[in-house]
Amino acid sequence: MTASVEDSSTKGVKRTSSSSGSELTTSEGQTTIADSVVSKIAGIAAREVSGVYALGGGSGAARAFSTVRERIPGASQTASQGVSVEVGERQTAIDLDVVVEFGVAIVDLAQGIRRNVISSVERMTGLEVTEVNVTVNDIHLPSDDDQADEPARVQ
Amino acid sequence: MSEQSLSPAAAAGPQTAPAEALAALVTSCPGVASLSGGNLGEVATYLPGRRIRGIRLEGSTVEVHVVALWGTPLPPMADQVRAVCQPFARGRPIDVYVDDLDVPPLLVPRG
Repeated sequence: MTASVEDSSTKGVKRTSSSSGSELTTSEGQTTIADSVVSKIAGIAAREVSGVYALGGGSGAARAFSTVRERIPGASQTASQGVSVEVGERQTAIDLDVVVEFGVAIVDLAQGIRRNVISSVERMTGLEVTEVNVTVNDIHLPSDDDQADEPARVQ
Repeated sequence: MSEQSLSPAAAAGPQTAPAEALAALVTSCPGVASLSGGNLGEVATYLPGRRIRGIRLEGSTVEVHVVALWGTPLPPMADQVRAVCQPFARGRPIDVYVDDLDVPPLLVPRG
């Protein structure tokens, strides 16, 4: 296991890199942040980045499931779709499934997503983000939109 | 200082349970959208005729479960909640659980 260099192992020493100056574990009690909180923040932060068409569109099974879900009245996409997270006491790891727009540099986009997700999650939750894994599942072509708008040729 | 201010329960009036008074204080903290009953809605103080969601005052720790507002830095919010709970805790640790986030509809993708 590789430990973070900045982490001080001396007990009682507070991590100074935390921008808020607040700790989640204090002598007066703990602050526990639920998975759904982190995944909502990560999902919204990822979607904000220009070049991300949508989140989700994972494996065949996940796609089939989301197709089914689209047909269920009242069911809708959630802010945390395509996001899975693991949350510990002080750290969190995030996996993202994204569909990108055609014509982006995927490596640069992934880096932009990573930066925005890490800053949003760290700023809001005070958790240290250990990793953000971005999986690009699909690319959205401009022609995908056109096809949907065309009237059916056969009535 | 009146004697009433020493006891939170007394300060809130004879009809108000401590959990009820605390619930009002916690929901008035900036960044707190509401109290949360946990996944199953079971986190509560059970009183005759009613229950106070998201507050547990019995046991060795005080538990407060909240839904936070989008954009709130959570550790300072939790500190504030903890400060508000202090008079009710009688020295016990206060565990703050952020169970969910209240996201404005504009940010949620349309399905």
